[in-house]
Amino acid sequence: MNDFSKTQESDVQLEGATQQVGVSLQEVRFINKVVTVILATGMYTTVGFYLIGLILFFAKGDSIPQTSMQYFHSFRSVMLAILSLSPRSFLYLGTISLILTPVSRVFISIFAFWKEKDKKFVIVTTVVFLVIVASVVVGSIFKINVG
Amino acid sequence: MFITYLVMFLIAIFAGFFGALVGIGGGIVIVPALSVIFHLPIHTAIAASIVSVIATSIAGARSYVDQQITNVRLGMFLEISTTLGALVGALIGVIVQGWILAIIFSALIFYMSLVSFRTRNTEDRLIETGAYNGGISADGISRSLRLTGKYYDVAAKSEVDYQATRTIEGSLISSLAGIGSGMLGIGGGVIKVAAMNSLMGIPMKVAVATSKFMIGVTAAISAVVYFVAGGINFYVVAPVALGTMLGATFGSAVMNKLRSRVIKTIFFLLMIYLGYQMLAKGLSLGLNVNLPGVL
Repeated sequence: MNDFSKTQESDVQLEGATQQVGVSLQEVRFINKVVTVILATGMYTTVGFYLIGLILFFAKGDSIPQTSMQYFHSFRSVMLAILSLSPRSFLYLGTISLILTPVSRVFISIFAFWKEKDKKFVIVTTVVFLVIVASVVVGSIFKINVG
Repeated sequence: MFITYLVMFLIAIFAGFFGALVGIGGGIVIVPALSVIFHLPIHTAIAASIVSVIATSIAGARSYVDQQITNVRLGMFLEISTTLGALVGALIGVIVQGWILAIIFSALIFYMSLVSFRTRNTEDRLIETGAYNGGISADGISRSLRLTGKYYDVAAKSEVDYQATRTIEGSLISSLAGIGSGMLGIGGGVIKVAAMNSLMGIPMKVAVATSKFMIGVTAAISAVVYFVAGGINFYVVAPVALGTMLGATFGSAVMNKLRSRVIKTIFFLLMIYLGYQMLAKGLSLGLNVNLPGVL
């Protein structure tokens, strides 16, 4: 950590650098606002589904299954399960909204940076999104744990 | 059964609270708790832990971004390295033996824990004098991508300016974090925080908040793969995820009120523990030597 103790000379250089490098407060506020809204939406949706699922689960008084779960194979079967108040369908949707939240945070940020005309970060965020898609495809095909 | 859920929920609150303070996912608490206390199969425990890491990341990140502590641009930039690292790690996992990687990681973590311990008092002093970035000048990438920012430190009652430096080294170490979480399933957050704070000249609290923001992405990739393979038990995931979200919400409300010294000391102790666990894992898998005190 020698860098912390450099002389005043570099402080002077630094002020120039800060102005060059700086991000405007407005820019930061906009992207932070977008991210906060996405994360909050994802969080409350998940909490809602999970709470309903757990309340139904306790109301029915089943025991915790030890094994992994059978999934739903169509939109129709999920909807039917929801209408019959099956706890599993609510827990299933809660888990989906949870997993999709960070992914949509990356995806929507591409457009937020686009709107800010920040081309470099449009590229950075697009690369991250493409690597996510590639990882999911590779992981699901080869059955390996990516991430 | 209600008691089982309640205990699971309380442990998850602790993991979420602790994870928010130091910028980690909390898998280090969740995995042993689920497998040792609740006797769940290790794969169920790991899958549940990964989903709960997403939950804690969302709750912690929501709060830290709202408090303007997270550096979203820095996080997005480093996510390239962590996601690529995780992909590469998963692919080379078939070639390189896990135990060798575990020992390398243990050495890296022990080294970074020492750096963190040595700088624990310096950082508070720099924050108080308002000269955190005194002498650190941004490198080319940092300047071009404007990886700079400021936050208000509640404990020190001062505004702290900073800018990232050594971005290439930081990216390389972050990709190691990705490789590690891909291959060893634990320790991604710890390495990210250490890389940002000890190497890139980012204040500890910003490193914690930005790591918290980033870990959800790699965990989500992992979770999709588990999901597709059918390895997620929703009945375990739901109480754990709810608990870690609640814990992370408490933790992220407290973090900025603590001195950086306190956070760095907790972080140092965590790293010593993690480094030891990694070393033990490597020795046990590779050389059949069993160290004491390992779960």
